[in-house]
Amino acid sequence: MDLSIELLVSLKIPDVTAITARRTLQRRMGYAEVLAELTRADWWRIGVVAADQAAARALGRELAEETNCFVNPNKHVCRVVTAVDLPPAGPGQSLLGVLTGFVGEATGDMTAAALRGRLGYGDRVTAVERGTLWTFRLNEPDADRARALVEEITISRGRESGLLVNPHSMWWRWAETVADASVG
Amino acid sequence: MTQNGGPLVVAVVQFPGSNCEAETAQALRAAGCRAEIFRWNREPRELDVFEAFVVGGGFSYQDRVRAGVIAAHEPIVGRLVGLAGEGRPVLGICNGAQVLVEAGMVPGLAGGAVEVALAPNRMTRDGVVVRRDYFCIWTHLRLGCAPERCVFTRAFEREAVAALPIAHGEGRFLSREPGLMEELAAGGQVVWQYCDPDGSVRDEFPTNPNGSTLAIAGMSNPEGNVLALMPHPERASWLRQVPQDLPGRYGAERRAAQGDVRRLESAGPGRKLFESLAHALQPVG
Repeated sequence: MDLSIELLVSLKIPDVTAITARRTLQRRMGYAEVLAELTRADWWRIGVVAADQAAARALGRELAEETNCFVNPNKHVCRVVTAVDLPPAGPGQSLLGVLTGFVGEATGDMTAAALRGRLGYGDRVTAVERGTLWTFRLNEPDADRARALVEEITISRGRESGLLVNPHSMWWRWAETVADASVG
Repeated sequence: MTQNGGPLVVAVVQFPGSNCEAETAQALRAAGCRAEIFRWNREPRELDVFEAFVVGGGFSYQDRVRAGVIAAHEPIVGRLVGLAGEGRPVLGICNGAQVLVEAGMVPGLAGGAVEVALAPNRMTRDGVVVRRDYFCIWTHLRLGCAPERCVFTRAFEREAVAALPIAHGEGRFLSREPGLMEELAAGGQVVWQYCDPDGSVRDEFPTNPNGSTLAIAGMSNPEGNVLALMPHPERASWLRQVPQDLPGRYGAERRAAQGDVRRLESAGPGRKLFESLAHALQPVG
């Protein structure tokens, strides 16, 4: 059956891109009080053909660990999930994730071609999509206000508003929390 | 020379990760300007003594998040926005162009809004994507507006063809607003377009080397005093910098100059852009 698994790949070392984005938001754009933490991970959704969800997860782990397409074990940690999962927010806080990427970005297609061809996975891999997962920990307990803040931070509208997505060349969407999704 | 009789005083803004500031300053000096490298962490008000500004190429902040966007939020760029609003010339080259676009200075239709993107390169031929991302090559450009329309083109002739190199991964002018690029072209804000050596603008790789909409290489604000230019004029300011195998007029000039140091040290095809700036404060004659 057609299934999909997702890989969340993050750096073992400090992620300077996430740190720079957080500092820019806090120091230059007025989010010092409300933005407690900003982290980043490479996000991959891989379409697979497998007998069941357990087999799909096993294939996801194999792709992550054996192919060198997604993970360099010297510098990355990887989790295989069925959907983006976020830990619970702390008291008085909200935790929200957004997925972003460039429209027409080709890494996913090229990776899928490599997996299906050169790496011998054939029809077991149907598609690969790539993006970035940004996770915001906000000192804002109200869910609606927190979502409004994240949207404001995410979409670049000018020097005063937004940082992560230029809407003329990029897509974004909410990364919805799915409990117990982590499988690896 | 400026209206005051002295050379135009230009600040070349350097961010962490800029890597073209020295050669840009050298090219400005060769064109008759006085150029000083201005580091991003100086007091922004210190920019006020300069008459014009160049944000040069490189990888500001290591292109973190996306090219140019972190630098665009630095206080020094806020001051540049103000000074550009007073009419002072601002040129962004390559990464500098990305900074100006992310700061909403170009195309500058709606008061600082981000109205276009410099997206990752996506080269097409016959409707097929043939290449993506980073690419460096010498290109030809045709002037897409009247020379007097933009501060940085006044030394060129109408529909002039120049040859300049590119070296970038995110240089594809793009807007999600249907018809915006055509409107900008009609309004004279599409300053340079990629073309063949004979001046024919074509939307196919390799003439259009990055898939930019309308083959746009350089775009200005409505007033024409701010220009975001992806190719590097500072790398084409001396004839010796032109490759001998470049097709067209400039390659022929370069081959003819081989062995003649004096000719090799003469102006290259990018010099006029800086000469336009050097005369920016003089009335258009």
